[in-house]
Amino acid sequence: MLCQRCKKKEANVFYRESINGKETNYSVCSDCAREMEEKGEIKNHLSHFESHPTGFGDLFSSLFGAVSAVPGVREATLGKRCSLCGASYSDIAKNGKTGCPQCYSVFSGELSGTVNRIHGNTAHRGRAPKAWKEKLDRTALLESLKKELSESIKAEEFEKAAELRDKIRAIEKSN
Amino acid sequence: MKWYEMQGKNKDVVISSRVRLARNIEGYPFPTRLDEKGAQEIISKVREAFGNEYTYTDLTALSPLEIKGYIERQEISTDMAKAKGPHGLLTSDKNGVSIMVCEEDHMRLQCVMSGLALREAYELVAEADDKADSALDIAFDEKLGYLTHCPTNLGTGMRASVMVFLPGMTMSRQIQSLSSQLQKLGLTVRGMYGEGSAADGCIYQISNQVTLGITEEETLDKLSNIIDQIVVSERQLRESIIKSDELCDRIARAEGVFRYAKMISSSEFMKLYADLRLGVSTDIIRGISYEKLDSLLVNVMPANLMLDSEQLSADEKQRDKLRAEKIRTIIG
Repeated sequence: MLCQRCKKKEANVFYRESINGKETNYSVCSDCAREMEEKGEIKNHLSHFESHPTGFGDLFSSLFGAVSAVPGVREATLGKRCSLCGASYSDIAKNGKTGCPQCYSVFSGELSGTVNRIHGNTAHRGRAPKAWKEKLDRTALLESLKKELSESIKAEEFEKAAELRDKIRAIEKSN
Repeated sequence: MKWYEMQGKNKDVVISSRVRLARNIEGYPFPTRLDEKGAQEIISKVREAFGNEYTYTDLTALSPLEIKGYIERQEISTDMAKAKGPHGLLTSDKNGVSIMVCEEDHMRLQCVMSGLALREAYELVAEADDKADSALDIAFDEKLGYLTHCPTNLGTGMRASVMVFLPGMTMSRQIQSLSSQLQKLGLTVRGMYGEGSAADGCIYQISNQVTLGITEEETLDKLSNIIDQIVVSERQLRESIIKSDELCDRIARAEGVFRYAKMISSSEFMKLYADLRLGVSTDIIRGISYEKLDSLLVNVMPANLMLDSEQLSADEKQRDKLRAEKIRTIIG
């Protein structure tokens, strides 16, 4: 989407203002946004976002990367909002909590560092909803079969390898 | 029956075990971003999923004093009391499982049991989780596990915690080193009423910190093993500290105050409670059961004292009087 002000650059700042129930939306580029703020056309804009690095609060301040401190991320995250709950990355970083389950996929890039800092670079193991269990079991089975396959190739057990390959294909096909 | 009315394992050291699972429903914002209509929808979906076996209490319809009573009995969290939108509690008399609805997550399923019983508590709460799973679309991600409001709960969404009574470690100043050792294992020690609260009465909560990349069983095993070790070393420390005449005198005085005093403040109670419990667990005091000791912990707190006696506007002085009476009634 082009910036609605200069109509030249790509819009990457989305700003919503609600005064006495009257809502105004701007989709502008970051240069125009800065200019508009300087002229007082929009309030608490960039300064609002940039104030967060110091205002993130207690425990999570070190866990969440400051929006403006991450090169490249800032511009992209400023305008992005989760379509289900409306949260921006700033909202999430401010109190260290996400807005809805979908935020984890919308902000997966921004949040991955945080998750790693809390839990380490790891993936879920353990219980899963029924709907997922079958799929996860299948993934785990595929992984172990593939491992076995590469081992049997290394050991030049080609007959076994062929059997394993057929098994893997069959499972992948049923997916 | 409530956990504090039941018998349990390793009661000289372990007061209670609790397992809590955080679960959310796909397609809805978390409670802080949920409007009234959405919250009502969540509540009715969850109530329907759990059926008639569970009773729903609308917490927004209760007085602040009643809410405080729930917190003192550890039936709800302090965060739940702060929730702004519609929220409530589902409880079952049958298995002691309760579900906080629209706290920080859509559902917080929990089970508290007396003594060391992490596995048993987990099994009951997992059974309730199956019930939720078969009726609701639970938010989950292959890599991140159960999706929760706070990223610290991602993965299993499980917090297993054990409330322990550690006068031996406290008096021999070993809590600090215990705490740093536990931290290395992904466990944490806190004061009795959770985050930030002081460890009154030598009572601490030990719980798992990490929830992603480790299964529920592994977490429970790790915590149970550590607790077993803590039980052994706490018992040894007690053996040596109770040889002190001063401590035996203090224990006897604590019993004396509880049996005969006319007014007891809550801070005096907490201080003397540790001595009383230590006296019972080392056989210096006889005739007081652990169930009575547990029930004291819950029933002499300000809100429960006022609710129980129906003196809803009792001031501090009146409460101190009520507390002394209540203690006498309980310990008999």
